[in-house]
Amino acid sequence: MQYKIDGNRLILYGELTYKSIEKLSKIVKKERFKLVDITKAETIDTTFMVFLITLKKEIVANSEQMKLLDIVKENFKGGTLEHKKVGFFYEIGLKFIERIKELYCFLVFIGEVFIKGVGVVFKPKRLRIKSIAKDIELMGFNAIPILATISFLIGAVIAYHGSIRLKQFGANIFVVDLVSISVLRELGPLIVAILLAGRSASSYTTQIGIMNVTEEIDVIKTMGVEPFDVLVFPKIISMLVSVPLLTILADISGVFGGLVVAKLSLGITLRDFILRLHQAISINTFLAGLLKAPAFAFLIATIGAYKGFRTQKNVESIGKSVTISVVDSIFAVIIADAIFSVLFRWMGI
Amino acid sequence: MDGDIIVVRDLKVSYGKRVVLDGVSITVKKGDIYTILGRSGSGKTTLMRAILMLEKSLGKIEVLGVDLNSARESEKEKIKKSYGVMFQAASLFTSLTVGENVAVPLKESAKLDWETTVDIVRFKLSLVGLEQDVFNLYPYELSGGMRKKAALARALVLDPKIIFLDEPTSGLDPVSADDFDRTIAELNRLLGITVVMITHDLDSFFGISKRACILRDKKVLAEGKPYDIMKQDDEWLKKLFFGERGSKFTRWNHG
Repeated sequence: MQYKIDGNRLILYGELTYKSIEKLSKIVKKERFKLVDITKAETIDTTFMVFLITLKKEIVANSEQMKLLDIVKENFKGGTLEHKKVGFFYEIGLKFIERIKELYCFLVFIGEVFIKGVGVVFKPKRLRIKSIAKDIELMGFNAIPILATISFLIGAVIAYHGSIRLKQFGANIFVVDLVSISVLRELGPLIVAILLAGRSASSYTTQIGIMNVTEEIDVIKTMGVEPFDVLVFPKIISMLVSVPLLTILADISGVFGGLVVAKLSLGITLRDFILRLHQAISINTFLAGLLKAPAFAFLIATIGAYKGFRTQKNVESIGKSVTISVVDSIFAVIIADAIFSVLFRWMGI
Repeated sequence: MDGDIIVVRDLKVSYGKRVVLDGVSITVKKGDIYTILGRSGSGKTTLMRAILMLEKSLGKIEVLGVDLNSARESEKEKIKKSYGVMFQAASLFTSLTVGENVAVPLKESAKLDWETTVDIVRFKLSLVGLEQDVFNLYPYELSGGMRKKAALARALVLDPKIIFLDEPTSGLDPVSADDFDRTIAELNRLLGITVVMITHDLDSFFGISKRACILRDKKVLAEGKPYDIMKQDDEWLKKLFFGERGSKFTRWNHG
């Protein structure tokens, strides 16, 4: 696009398309004129014309261009759209209230799970054994290799770090207490819960979220089937089965990791290790860890499913929901763990 | 030839060993409303995707005088800017509002301030017959017909020379479909945009298209004006035009 100023007349040449709007807006700021002459233009498009009209100058055009200009004028109503602007504190308040609402909605969801759960107890046929079994395979059984590896390494690392200090005191054998108590009480269940929060909660949220976007959940509802029966209860039950079993596995694997390191770096024999293990831990230590497992399982499954149902009907929202679901379930698990610690202390376990 | 905006000669497209189009030749003239007709699976969409450079093909596809299969990337980019495309499922970006959706091509190819962009977007929305208040709505809040119109507005935003429409009226009620056809015909008449569309809709076929081609068995069975095509001697065409659904047109046209 080229231009020329002739008195109070701006004459435009060449291609007047959306590409030249930026240039024209600079010219408008720089030059003074009352008329815009577009008769010399080679081509002109409607996008450019909209911009010309917003300038509110008189437009000189030939008959062909005039026709196009009339169409644009007819369809372009002017005025501005309402645009809400909010202050900083307003936004903070809004976010806070949204958080509170989110918590409220989650409590409502848990309530719904309980009430519908009572219905299932009276009508056990509503439980879908097949999908429970499938979910246990996917979320529990398939997690065994990674879980065994992680907890083995954690047990080994704790024993290794402990062994350096304990050697100085000549208290080598207490490495058994260190590993067994920390793994059985805290680390075993926590590793399982965090791993499954990443593995299962994200998968539940994605599955339910996409079903929500593609209106599959509505299809289930119109078929007269309770969506919770298909999507929530199988997941909760599969988690309730998987998490305790995986916790036991994590316990064994973690202590085994400690055993290997004790043998290699402190020279404690297998016999000594097991004898000491009997004195170090009681059944209560094991139960204190295992009792947390069902609570963690319930949190992971419900948060995963809940975030899925809360997904809005757009693609971006699925990504967001999955992130929040993983973060929230890990957070919830750790909070629950802290509460359990206080409770067990109080109860003297 | 001058006035030919798309020239396709001996086009061959295959997915692996399966040949979808074999020796297809069509010519679209400037200012045409060109319809591609054919039964499901006859390769209509593939033909369109080949012209849109989404599908690899053998043969000659010449758009605005540039042969796409031998052109440089920069030339192809230029051609792409002169295209407006509306896919069958409307395919609006679900995480953007309707207004932002329509503004995407503008933002990508021109540096404009937001106010100007909004003005242009609102004009385009009004041009396809949408109310101003859809600007801030999300695609899932719209009906199917409105979504299609929003997609059309997005296809039109850069004043393309050619717009491609994949089954624009499928899934619309007859009134909305008529309305949509009228919009397309208006745009063609007023702005001189060349329209290439795939359709099953005989109303669109007889109502607005100026020229058409029929795809059958990987080849072009016939090309020309809609009423000339109707006279072709082919079993499927006869079923199409004189069967239950098509016969009303013959009744209207012959008495």
